[in-house]
Amino acid sequence: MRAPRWAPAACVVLAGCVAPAVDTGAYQHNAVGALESAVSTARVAALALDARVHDRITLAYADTVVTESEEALDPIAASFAVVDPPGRDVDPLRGTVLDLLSEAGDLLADARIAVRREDVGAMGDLADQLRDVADDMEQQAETLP
Amino acid sequence: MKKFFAIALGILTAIGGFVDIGDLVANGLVGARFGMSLAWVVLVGIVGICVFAEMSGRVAAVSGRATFDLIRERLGPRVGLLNLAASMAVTLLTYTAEIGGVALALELATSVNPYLWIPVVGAAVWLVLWRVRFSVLENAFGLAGLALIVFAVALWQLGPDWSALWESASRPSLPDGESRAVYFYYAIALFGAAMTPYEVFFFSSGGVEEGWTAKDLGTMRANVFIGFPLGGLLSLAIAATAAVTFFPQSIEVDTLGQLGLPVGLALGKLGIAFLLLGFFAATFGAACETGLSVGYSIAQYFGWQWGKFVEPLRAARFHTVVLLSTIVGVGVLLTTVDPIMLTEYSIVFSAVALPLTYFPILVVANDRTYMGDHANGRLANTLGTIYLFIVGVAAVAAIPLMVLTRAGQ
Repeated sequence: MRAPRWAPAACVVLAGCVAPAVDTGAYQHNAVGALESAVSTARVAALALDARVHDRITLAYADTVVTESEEALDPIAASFAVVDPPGRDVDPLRGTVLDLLSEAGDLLADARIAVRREDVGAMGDLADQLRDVADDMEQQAETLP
Repeated sequence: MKKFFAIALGILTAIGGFVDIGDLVANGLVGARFGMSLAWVVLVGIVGICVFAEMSGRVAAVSGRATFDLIRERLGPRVGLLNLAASMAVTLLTYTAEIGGVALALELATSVNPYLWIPVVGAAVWLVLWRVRFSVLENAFGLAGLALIVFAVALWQLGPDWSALWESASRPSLPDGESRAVYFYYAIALFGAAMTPYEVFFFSSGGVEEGWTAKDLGTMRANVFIGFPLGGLLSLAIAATAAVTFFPQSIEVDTLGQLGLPVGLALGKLGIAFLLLGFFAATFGAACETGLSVGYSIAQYFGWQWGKFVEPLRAARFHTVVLLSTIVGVGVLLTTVDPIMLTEYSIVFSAVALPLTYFPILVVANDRTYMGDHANGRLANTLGTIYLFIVGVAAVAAIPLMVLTRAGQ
């Protein structure tokens, strides 16, 4: 399993060095970073699914790209989830972002399974759903300062 | 006719061998994130590598000795050691990244975890370096690396808006949401990828391996001045496919699999087959070049017998260094470090080490004791001096920008 580039930082965070974000602005900045990374991950997986549905790439290639996307998303969600919100006013933001990341994570897990089962119908549906959740995450990121 | 084929083969292998894991990662990443707005850096890098590769090739052809051999003699053991330490550290890091790159290419072909491939790749690279003749190694992987031309074909097939691409390349601007610091951090990374130190060491040592003399200067220059720029065009094609496919969708390229997706979308499975062959050949060939470069550098500095032009047992210490470097590279990768992240760091640290690599070459290429009538002329010295200034600026700025931007985050 390949460690993502910011895995060392995530490990430090997960090891207990967790601190609340300094202020609301910093917390929103974290949220935007997590959402933008997740948008990229979801869209690339959707591209790979489309390519596999149209038989443009091999099973091994699609499996590798989708699995990498899934593995990349887990630490994005984890590193955002462990940061304490600075106040109650950003609790709704935390909930929304975590819900979106969780939804993307579930879709990517389903996508990995669909690819390995060579379930073309499911791959097509999941590509659409991944694009939708990516758009939602992008819109959410754009609403933040 | 024989000479024509020799020149053609040299040019083709120079094109195919130009791109390595650093070029793949840097161009894909930059294309996806900045469109073609950093294309100018690739052009600056190509001219730079041509200037210094020609100098180091000329030194090898005229003196019959490789770069490190002369640097220690000309500049003394202390400066030579500084040069050796900086270049070696970067080349070993690059060697490790290349081995990781081969494993990632094999993962794409098989979906077998790359960490299972790493020891196999390490053993295969070492076996090739031990057993396979230099010319076979250079020509086979150089020619197979031409499969990466599939990126250029894919770009054409994707049907981009050529005028928009040209506009983005010819009038560079900051994309929305990107800071100047991040832009210049990636500019330095791209520059470091194009001018990686091992390329000149391998080129000059390869010249000695192949027994170049002053009569081969024409062939050498054809390789450099035709092959390298065409290899650079390949780099631009990689960046352009990423720019066309990923930039509009805000997708960042972090893996080889993502980088190759546009080829699959444009050309289907046949394109993927060429892509995988190209990835494998480019990374395996570069792993061989960097592995040899580590051995060349150390053996030449200490004055040991080196090279593949002698029986391995007559260059035992050289081959021992290559073996130990391979073990270190494989060991580092098996800590589960991400090869792509390693590549990103290796190209930035390449930029830091550039002055220590290129300044001594400029000095040696000007020394008429070694070079006689073939010492640097006015043009070579002017370009060399300009580039020393550029690499100096890049070297000084690289680490502060890395810290400031949190490695381009």
